[in-house]
Amino acid sequence: MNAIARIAQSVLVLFLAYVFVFLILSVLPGDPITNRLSDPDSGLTRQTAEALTNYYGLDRPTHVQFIDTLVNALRGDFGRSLIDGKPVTEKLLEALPSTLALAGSALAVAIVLAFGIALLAVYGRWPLLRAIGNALPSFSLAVPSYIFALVLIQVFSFQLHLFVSVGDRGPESLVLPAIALGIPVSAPLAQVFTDSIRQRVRDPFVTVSRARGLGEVRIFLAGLLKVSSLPALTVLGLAVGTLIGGAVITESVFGRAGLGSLVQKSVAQQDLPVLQAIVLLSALVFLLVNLIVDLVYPALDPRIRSTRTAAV
Amino acid sequence: MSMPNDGASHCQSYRGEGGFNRDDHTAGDDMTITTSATRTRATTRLASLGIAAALLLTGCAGAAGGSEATEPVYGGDLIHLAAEAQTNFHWTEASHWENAAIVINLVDNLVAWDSQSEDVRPWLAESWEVNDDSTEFTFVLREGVTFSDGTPLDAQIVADNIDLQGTGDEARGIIRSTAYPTSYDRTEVVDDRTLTVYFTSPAAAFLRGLTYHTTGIVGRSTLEASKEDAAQLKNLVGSGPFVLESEKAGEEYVLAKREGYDWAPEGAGHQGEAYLDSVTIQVVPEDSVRAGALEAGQAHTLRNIQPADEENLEAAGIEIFASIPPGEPLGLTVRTDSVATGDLRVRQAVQHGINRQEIVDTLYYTDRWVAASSALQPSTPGYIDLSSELDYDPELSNTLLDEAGWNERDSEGYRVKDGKRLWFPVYPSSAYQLAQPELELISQQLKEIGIEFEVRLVDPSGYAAAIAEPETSFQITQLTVADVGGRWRTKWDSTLALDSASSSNVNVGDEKIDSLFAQINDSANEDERTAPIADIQTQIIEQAYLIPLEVNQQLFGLAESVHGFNTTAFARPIFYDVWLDEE
Repeated sequence: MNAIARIAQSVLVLFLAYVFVFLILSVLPGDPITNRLSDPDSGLTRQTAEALTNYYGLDRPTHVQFIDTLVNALRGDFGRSLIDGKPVTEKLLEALPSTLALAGSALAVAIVLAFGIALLAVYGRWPLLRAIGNALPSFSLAVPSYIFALVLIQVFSFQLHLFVSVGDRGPESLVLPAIALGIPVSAPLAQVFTDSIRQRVRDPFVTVSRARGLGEVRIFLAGLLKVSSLPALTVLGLAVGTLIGGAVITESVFGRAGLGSLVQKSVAQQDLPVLQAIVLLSALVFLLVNLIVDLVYPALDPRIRSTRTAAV
Repeated sequence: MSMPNDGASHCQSYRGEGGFNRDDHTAGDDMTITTSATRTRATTRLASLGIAAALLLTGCAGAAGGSEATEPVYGGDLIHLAAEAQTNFHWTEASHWENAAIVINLVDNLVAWDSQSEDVRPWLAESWEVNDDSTEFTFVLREGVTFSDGTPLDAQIVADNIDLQGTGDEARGIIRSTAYPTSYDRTEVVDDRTLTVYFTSPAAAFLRGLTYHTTGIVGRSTLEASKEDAAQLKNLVGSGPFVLESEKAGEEYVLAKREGYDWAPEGAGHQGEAYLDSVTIQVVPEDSVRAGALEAGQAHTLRNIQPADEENLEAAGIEIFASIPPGEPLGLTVRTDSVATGDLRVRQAVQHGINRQEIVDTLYYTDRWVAASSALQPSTPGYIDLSSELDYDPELSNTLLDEAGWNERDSEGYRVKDGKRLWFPVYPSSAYQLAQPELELISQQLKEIGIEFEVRLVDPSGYAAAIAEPETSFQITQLTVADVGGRWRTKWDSTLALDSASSSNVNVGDEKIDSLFAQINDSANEDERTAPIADIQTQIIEQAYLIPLEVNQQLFGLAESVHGFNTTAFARPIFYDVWLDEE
């Protein structure tokens, strides 16, 4: 597919995501002002609630609100939060560094773990080791992520005093959250990687390489690794997308204010402008990552490249 | 200035913790343990440091935490763990626990509340005069006060503050302060240090409203900023003992000591600058991590302790500081507009069909949690003990329900009348952590007398709609009020029903209550309000408009090194008098 069609398709996806989230949120009962009314601590009366609703423009017809926010979004103005009045872009930019750091380190942990588990499952010397390698991904998916997080904190922070559990003291504070988040992310990676190694091992080029006398390690590093990592790469792309705004539990347990906790708060408080911006951002990240993965594919497996040129 | 005695000093706090002082802790057991431990530590400290003269200097600081025989230490950086992420720092709206915790240490008020004497103390206002019918309040301001941006505090800026809070500014989306009496008229500047506030009708509770955490005095730049800009913490200019040094939104806030601060309230633990160099407030939403971090020594104080963690923390040497904010206890507010709950006998059946002691014993593990004993919290001025009206009497409930015509039972044992089951949906509010188990326990208790409480879960965004439905006759509520004539009245006075949002006024249409609130409104001073407040409580309980459950408390955990911790009358933490003893 050529570049222009690709870009057009991406823009369409972004637009649809934007419309979709707007519709869903406007259909939901209540809005931030109404929710505050039900809280006696807020001290709102019906009159002041009306004034606030008017001030935030929440009483305009839905399509008017939609056009308004869309036009502003195209100009780069994503409005202000309905809860604390901060510009949405500012809130996102504040949360982004924390999320990027956590996502990046969790991905690194996940890749290393997935690698290790896959190698264990396929090349493990004893059947027991291979069985463990097969079972580990299911195990880490079955255990809720917050269990890992809490156990890690309990052992390494409270008992052994190796890490501080809360606050951001730089790279040191990333260790425990990255491990806690990396474990569940590694599971599908490990499974897919294990599977594809097992499949690719039966490919003709491996047989030929063995016949030529190359050792397993050499075969793996020289060719098998690249081709078997393709499906895992796709899964990796999806994982990156979900890590943006998806690490809610880990962020909550470790007291990190990233996009995950921002999403959670915005959903609970029906902070429409913030949610729309986050959805757009997530959609954008997904699109970009998938684009990168698509571009990397031919570099890893030459057969794909030739197939594509043949198709065009 | 008071002398500490037997390890328990009589704290003359400038903003007391709503009456729940350690001195009059009713349950007593942990008090005794801490006291003797304090005595032992006090002796050790005296012996090793030899500071006997320090006894004269500590005064209030000794009441909360550890040994009061040691002299307060300047310096140190405190780490406080917040239970939820902050949402809104607009100083007129920052009433939520974690928002207020930061704002009140940055912003000062005109007057401070003293829970010992149940009266207001001078703060930014040095003195004041009130006319006979409480419609004119003239304040004389303290000299030498400046805001954190250097601008001076004068009558004009205070008048503008009061005006904004009294009338609000709809164009900017700023609502009138609920802590102010509704009859606010205007404020006039008399001279540089003097101003007079006028009300169109008696405003006896105005001074108490001025101690609330949303009625602080801010500088001009904050006052005139747009609502969004003013809601950013970095734009909040106050005269408080701390200033904002850095902020990582939703994660960490660092407050630094305000140099030159010299206008603490009269009767505060000390005068002059704060002891601490800085206070770092970290957000840790996960309860077990928060408690564990305090226990492991990674923090000094925290707010909000799960019942399951209370004993563990105390065993680890953490002191638990309880604060009872004034207002209503945790309870079930009853809507009287249905066939069932419109009948007094049904409501009273529920009132006596709930075993409050069982609730407290099951949900909580320490003695500090007690059943509610009235329609108001014990720390509210005017509270009376009505526990004799709230006894658990299922036989009475059964009799009442039979009389009310609900004497048939269906196959599951629930009462039926005219083919309809005595059934009510109830929704656990996300604002109260134990709402669900509590409602489930109540449901079990009420099943014994044939009433079905169906506990339905709903997410926060659907909660407002769920409780607005006509079938939702029972709603779990709790209320913190600056003044009973303010938000408490907004809830119960049906003459205000048209002005109030549907779910904050319950519209019971009780003329007796309405006229009692009118009396409170017309009262010229506090003493005249005591009788009507008592009568309103009696009426609410007898009519079972509110089914009180347990006394609401805010629990703070304090590490051993923390001294001088206190809260406002509304359970917000004050860091001004806190000092750290980290050897």
